[in-house]
Amino acid sequence: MSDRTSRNGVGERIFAGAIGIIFAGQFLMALRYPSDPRLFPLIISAAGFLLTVALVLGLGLHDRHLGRPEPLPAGRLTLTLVVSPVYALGLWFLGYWVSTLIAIPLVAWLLGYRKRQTIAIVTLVVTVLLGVLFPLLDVPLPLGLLPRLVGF
Amino acid sequence: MILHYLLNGFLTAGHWYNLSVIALSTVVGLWIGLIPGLGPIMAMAILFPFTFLMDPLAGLLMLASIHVAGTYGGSISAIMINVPGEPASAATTFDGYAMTRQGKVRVALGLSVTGSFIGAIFGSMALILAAQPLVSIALKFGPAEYFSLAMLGLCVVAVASRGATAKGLLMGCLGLAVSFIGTDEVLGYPRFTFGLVQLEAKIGVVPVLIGLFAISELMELMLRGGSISAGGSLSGSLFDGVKATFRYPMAILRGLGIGIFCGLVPGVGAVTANLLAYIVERRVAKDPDRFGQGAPEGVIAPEVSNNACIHAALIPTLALGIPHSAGSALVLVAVTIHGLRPGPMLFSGSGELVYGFFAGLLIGAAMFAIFGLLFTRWFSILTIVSTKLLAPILLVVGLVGAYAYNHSFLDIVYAIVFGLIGFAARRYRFPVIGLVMGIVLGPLAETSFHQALEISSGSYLIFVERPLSAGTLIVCALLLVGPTIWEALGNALWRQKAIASQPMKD
Repeated sequence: MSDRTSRNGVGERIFAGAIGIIFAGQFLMALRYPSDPRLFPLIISAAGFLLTVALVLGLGLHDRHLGRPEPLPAGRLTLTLVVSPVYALGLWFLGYWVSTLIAIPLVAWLLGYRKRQTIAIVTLVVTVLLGVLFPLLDVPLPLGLLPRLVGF
Repeated sequence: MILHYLLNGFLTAGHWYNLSVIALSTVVGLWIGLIPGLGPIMAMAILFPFTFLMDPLAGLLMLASIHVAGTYGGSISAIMINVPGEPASAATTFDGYAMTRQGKVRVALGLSVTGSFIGAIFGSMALILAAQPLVSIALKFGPAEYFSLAMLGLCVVAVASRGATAKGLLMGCLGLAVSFIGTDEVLGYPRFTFGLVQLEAKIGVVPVLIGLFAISELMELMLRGGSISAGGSLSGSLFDGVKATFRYPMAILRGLGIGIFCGLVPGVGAVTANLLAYIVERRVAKDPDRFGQGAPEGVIAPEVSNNACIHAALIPTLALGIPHSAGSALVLVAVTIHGLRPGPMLFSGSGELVYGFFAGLLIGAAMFAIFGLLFTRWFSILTIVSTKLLAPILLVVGLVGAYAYNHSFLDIVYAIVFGLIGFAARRYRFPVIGLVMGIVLGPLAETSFHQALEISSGSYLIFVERPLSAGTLIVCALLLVGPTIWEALGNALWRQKAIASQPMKD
């Protein structure tokens, strides 16, 4: 096995192992339930755990199409991982309007987009379009904690 | 007799008032279907009270047109930005988006609109011409058969993940494990909720799909840069896609078969039809490596299938009074409110209204195809916009769409978690489709498993005693172990031949 393939195997095994932990946890939790509600989860989590063990041991990892994933640039990866949770927190705390008006230009800017006019137009169009469409369809948008605290 | 009724139906549905209702509802459905988290069911529910004020036929046509156009609309965003607007378009992302990455977004949209149109027309024809014989098939399915069918769905996913059967099965099991979280559907027992009331409701398919497709794609786009269309340019036209569809008649037929079957069996649904059609296409292909790289059959079959399913689902709805999905349930309620009684007699009595409705479905299919061809070419420009600008838009649409599903921040959390899972799964080539199938089929599998055991007083033999269930389980076993046995036999034969062909030594 080449170094390239074995390195890929490590990532796959870690991913499979993480799923295996979920199955193990689910199996242990299911043991405490009454017989009927636990039956199916026990069967599936046991099967899932066995599959995980097989994959971690290297059985069933024969994906001939698997190329080595490209290395991820650390800075961009951090931004990628952080952006969704931060926007979600923004929705919860600041509400839809404020967080969206901040998020679109900020993320575009952080990704390296520099046309200010385009950013401004896109931000306004997208924010207003969704902000009008969703309530029109009886879907309330998040108001946010802060606006409610300050009495909006 | 049916032809006579149908011609009368066309005359009724062709009235300018009904036509304008169909056209307007189609436009609404297309736009709503495009946006993840909204979906046609929401629009149908909101507009439902308006049907009381309308002529019965116009009211029914409005609901059906939104439902059908919305399902098609979901595939537009699935192809363009890898975000299924509707769960029933999940499988369309795999090859549709791959084509978009190659700059062939218009061709993919052409394949999708033609496939959807064919599915809608033949699904409607099945409803009109063969509802009564087809409904007898649906009646043969009991809990044991439903369970076997759910298992078949998962086995097909695993086997279709060629070279990665174990990974496919693992993802299927993970999907089932996710479907267990919340209140047990059979006994009402809360499971894996850690005492949190919020977790007692099941995890919805919509936030999961938004996570697996939209958020993971957002992460990919942010890392990759450039534009969705890798070359930054567009090639091909919608009509290339329209023409190309007819080069794959077998994919169309298979998609139709799967779609109509899934529509007939209550509880299975368009999501399963869409995923199953994709998996089957990949399985039967001579060169399955093309799938996921922009294979036209990977767009055609799922699109034919989900649209055929939506229409065929009206068969059990109207002939048995068993709604198949939230959408058909709304149609059923509208039918009853207007004084019609679902059942076999519906097709022979109330001719003008029922056949006007059927004719309206056919007209609606033509309308969404026309609007699709007219409008979608403009959307394709989105695929050459810089991802630096597109990524924040996708972020907002994705997370707000997840919130819209249940007006809950928890759904945003689900979307982010499944986004991370989807990102890792794609990176290490674990088939995401298995996870989706597991979540979709989990409730059906578990409920029917318990119901079957209840009927048999706890005997597991029920799954093998009933011929249809036993046959399905045999197919499952063959799918899982068949290729290995086949390969072993082939190797043995090859070795025998090699030995026989060796020159004899003294």
